[in-house]
Amino acid sequence: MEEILRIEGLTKIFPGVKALDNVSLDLKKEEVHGIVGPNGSGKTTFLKIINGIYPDYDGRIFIDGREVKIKNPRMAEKVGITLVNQIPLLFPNLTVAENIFLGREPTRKVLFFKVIDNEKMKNETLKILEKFGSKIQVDTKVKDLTVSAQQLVEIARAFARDAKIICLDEPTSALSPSEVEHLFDQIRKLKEEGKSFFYVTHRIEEIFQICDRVTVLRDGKKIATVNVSEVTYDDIVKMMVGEERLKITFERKEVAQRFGEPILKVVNLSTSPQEASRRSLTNITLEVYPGEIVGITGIVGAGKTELARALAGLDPTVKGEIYVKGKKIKRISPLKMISEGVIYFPEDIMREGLFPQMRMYENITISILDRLKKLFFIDEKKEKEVAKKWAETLGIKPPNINVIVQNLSGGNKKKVILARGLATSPVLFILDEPTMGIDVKAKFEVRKIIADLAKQGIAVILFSSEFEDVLLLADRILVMYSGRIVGSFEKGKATKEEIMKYAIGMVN
Amino acid sequence: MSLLTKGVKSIWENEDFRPFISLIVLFAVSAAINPDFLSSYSIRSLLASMSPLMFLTLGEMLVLTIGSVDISLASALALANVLTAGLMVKHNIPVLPAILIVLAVGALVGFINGIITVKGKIPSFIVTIATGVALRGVCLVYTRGYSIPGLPTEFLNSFGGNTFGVPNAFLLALTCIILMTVIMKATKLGRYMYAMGGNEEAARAVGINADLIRILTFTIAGVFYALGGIIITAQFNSGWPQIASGWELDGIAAAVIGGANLAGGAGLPLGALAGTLILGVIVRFLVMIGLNPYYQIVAKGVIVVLASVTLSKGLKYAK
Repeated sequence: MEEILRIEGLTKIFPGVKALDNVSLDLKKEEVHGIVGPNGSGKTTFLKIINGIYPDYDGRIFIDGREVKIKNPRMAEKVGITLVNQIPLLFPNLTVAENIFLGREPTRKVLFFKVIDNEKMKNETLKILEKFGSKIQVDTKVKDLTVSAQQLVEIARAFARDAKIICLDEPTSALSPSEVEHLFDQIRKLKEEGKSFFYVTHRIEEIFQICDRVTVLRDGKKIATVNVSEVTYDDIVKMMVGEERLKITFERKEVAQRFGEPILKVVNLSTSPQEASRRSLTNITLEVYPGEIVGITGIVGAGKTELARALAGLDPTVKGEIYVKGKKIKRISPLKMISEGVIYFPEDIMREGLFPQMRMYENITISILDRLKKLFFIDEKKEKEVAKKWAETLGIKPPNINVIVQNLSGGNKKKVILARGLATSPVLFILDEPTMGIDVKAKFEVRKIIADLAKQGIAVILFSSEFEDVLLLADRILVMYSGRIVGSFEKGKATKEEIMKYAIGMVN
Repeated sequence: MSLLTKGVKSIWENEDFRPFISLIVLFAVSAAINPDFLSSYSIRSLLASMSPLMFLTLGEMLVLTIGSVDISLASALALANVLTAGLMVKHNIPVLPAILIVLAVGALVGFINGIITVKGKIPSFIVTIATGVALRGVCLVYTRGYSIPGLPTEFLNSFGGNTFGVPNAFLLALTCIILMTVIMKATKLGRYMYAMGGNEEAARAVGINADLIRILTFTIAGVFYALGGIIITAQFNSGWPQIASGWELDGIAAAVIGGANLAGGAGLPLGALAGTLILGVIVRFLVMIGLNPYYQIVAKGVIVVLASVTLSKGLKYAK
């Protein structure tokens, strides 16, 4: 088969992270090329580069043997590449038909004016959607569709375009099994018509259903490109997980003894999604005891952040009970959970955690000002003492508590938020991705801090998509998939491979 | 580098001092060109005439700090103006009760702005444009478009007079500004206001009741607008429904010059003092060099843009 796209030495650096590191691969005509890898391996970055969303890259891209520099999405479209986003990027107030034909609406002439031919547009849309076995009404506004219908519209929009190369980023994450079947039929049909696909997925079994070759990425590097017919499921999982370990690792030795009353008890908790991009939770049940670290892991989109937010009182729950120290929490809210000693550490600290223009000490003490008051005024001397103590305990650098926090490094910003939580003398810490996006050394330090929390008797729920975190730290590992807890392991009983199998829904 | 330049540089780098240095420089330049600027009469008249705007600026500054904006300030001042005159002249209500009623109405106006913004989840910019227009209408309805002159001497003397040669109006404004500076810098409320202006989502996540603080801030601002209105009544000895038309921009300009940030989370109330006086000195300077008064309006617009650009350069947001 002839080669349609070739990539040489593709590299993309974000501040502090090499998202893609010298990746070379090729795409053949009429091929479905799978791309798999753990979280943060560079799959989505790869698709975004060849679709012109990240114009700032190193390396060369050849299409039909000719080198092209893809500077923006319009250029990608021009050379025949289109992208189906993981989270649909649609216009909520336009109809299904308007979304699918946006920018290339069929027209007809009325007197001297070209006007949009609505009838034709609707009929064409109907035809396209029928191919997917979908019964979506073409003049419904997209905001009124379900998440899965929106994803279908996103796919249909890309397929209706005249692209040679279609990039699919986790297209099936919100689809039902029969919708997935229709999607695969369409892919096979378009393949016969001469189109090629990149297919990014977390669901390894799909690779075997639809892909011809598969490339495994890990930490931004290409591990291998193999013919699907020549490998097994386990081969791919092994390549994804890798053998080598980090040079600096921190391993928690202690094992918590479970006794007395659990700090937090959650029974049959369910939620419905707050935003289209979020997932609902189904029948979550868990317990955390003092000094225990419960690690919750899973792939992106498994519902970890949703669970963390629900436990912190930030999102409403639909069903189920939450008990803190045996006391049932009614009408859960952030304030109520904080007053019970439950501290939430958000995934996106820049958005939900930090006060960027304020000083380090102000960021640390914001939750304990009541304790630092003298009459009406904040006792600034005492405040700075407390802040200094925590900054030193956590090794924040520079140790200057007067520094404006937006000037700190990523790892130190995380430590400031940890210090804020510690200052409240919490009973339970809910940590959402505390080691994400920080360098190896900072990661080591944050892991050590987490282990120390447990040593002091604080209960910890550690949400992390990095298996290493939960393997090194947790007394118990829970694996989430599709909004449920699907696996549970005691300390030392799990391997990365084992966790991966649960995380991608292979064992259910 | 000498110690002096180093000292000046470190003061300049402190954003809270910057407006005051600008004011001193501007004042020195004006005085060098025309020494009359330094006469006690000239200074007294500057302080007195800028006092009502100082109150508007102070209120606006608080609202900007929490990440909102208030466009209704000039109309709120006008309402207080016609109400003060109306209560004292038309209804013969004694000075003190009349003032208390006006302040309460000011608080109510601010409370309404706050509650609509919070409960309606509407940007404060839109809410206060609407309430501003409506309040101006209320002024016209209340006065039927006429001015209400002839306030009691007792009132004129206390709010329009001087103490040791300093205008009482300015002393009152200064007291309020210092009080709010202390509250903003040294209390929990102030800290929470800066926090929610800097990152409201984070503020909610640490359990700060952002809605309550927003309503409270608008209410306090409303009281200050009313004080500005009471003072201007004494200065003009009348209530006039069209008073302070176009002062919306003056208040926002002075707040921004004084160190407030249109994106929220920054600024010290003390800056309202410098911001207002800078605006006053610039206007006087333009008059002094004989610029057509209409150009002054153009100049004000330019000043807001320049001040905002300079400030936003200093504060880079991570998001």
